[in-house]
Amino acid sequence: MEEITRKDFLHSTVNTLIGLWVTATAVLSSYAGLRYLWPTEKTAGGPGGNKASFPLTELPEGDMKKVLIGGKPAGIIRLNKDLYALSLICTHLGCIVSWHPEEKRLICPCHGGVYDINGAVLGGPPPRPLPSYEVRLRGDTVVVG
Amino acid sequence: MKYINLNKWLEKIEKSVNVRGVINWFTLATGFLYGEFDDRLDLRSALQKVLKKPVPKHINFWFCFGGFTFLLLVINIFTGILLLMYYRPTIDQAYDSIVHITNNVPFGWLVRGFHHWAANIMVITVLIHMLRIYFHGAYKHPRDMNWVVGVCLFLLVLSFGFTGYLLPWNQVSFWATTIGAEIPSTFPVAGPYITYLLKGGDSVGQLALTRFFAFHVVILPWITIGLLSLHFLMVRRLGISGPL
Ligand code: HEM
Ligand code: FES
Repeated sequence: MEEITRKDFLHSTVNTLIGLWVTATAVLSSYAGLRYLWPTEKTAGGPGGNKASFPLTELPEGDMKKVLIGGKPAGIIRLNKDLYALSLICTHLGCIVSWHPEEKRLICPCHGGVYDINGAVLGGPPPRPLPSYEVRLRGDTVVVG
Repeated sequence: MKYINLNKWLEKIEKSVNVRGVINWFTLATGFLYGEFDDRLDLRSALQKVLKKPVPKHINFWFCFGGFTFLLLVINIFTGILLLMYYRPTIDQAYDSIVHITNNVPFGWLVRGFHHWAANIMVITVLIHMLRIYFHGAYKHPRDMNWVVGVCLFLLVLSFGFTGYLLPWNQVSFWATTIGAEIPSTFPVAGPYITYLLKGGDSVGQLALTRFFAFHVVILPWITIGLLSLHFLMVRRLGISGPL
């Protein structure tokens, strides 16, 4: 077998590492690039994207379900057999508010803005109520927007 | 229309790929193409003539900053073109499209982050590059023309930053541009007219956004590419300046 000198060994190790690094970078950035350009439900939502629907069974009494309307998060709440659909984007600085079933309120985790089930501001810094969406029950399907 | 599920396709490809085969085909294709081109164009000696230029002994880290700036510019041309795939230059939609890029588009935050940071770091690298030239006295005859081209490139980097800053159309954009456009208003005689022109009217609006956008993504890039070619040609022709 041919002798491998220390210098040759180091040379080819470094070259291999550089090669692997370049390949990994190329593969990962092509992957990210392809994902970036590839249309998804959120990015290709054309004019038809302003509606959402799901079966009523997915929304138990007292709970909230998150959907996207025109790419923006909205929450459908089912309370005492009524349905409420609100934008979940806090009108203060745009954090996503969460539903607190015990208090029957929407509370913003960022600066403690509090909204009631109709979106009206009950406390905290939000300057405006949460916008609401039209919501209907069509048979067993909830239709929003 | 159903959305095509990318992950399912990637899985299918993963299962069917034979790595060795891909590499063989790759080497065959490049070898084949290179051979054909080399046969006709004598690429080997042409490339040797261009690439086999020894690096002078006195080159050190500080000589790299022009190259760093260039790398950052290439990054910004690349990520800028990617941002163009989603950005919308109207006062109704600009801000929403930026939020969309950052929050909804896969890796959009990364593309935007690269564009943002490369833009800011570029100002630092170009300044260090200029300081290097200054302290090495590399701006002297016969390289004085290249110093002039360099100053123009520096101003271009700043103009990229100024015009790009308006594009997200948020409060900071609006007021930064308003303030920037107000600065020339104190110039004698022409001042107020320059401000009026920059703002595209009495206050920054759609006209300013459209024009800043045109400058940022078409006009400035092409001027930069032209001047940069001159810059590099002169460096090549004159060689790098000597040791201190
Ligand atoms: C020297 C090169 C460049 C610099 C210094 C630069 C700088 C900037 C800056 C500061 C912003 C604001 C970004 C933010 O606040 O997140 C911006 C946005 C933008 N730039 Fe550039 N840019 C450069 C080149 C380019 C090129 C070549 C293109 C396209 C051909 C481009 C397309 C865009 C777009 C579409 C935006 C809006 C998206 C956003 O704000 O994130 N830029 N640029
Ligand atoms: S963002 Fe919701 S309270 Fe500030």
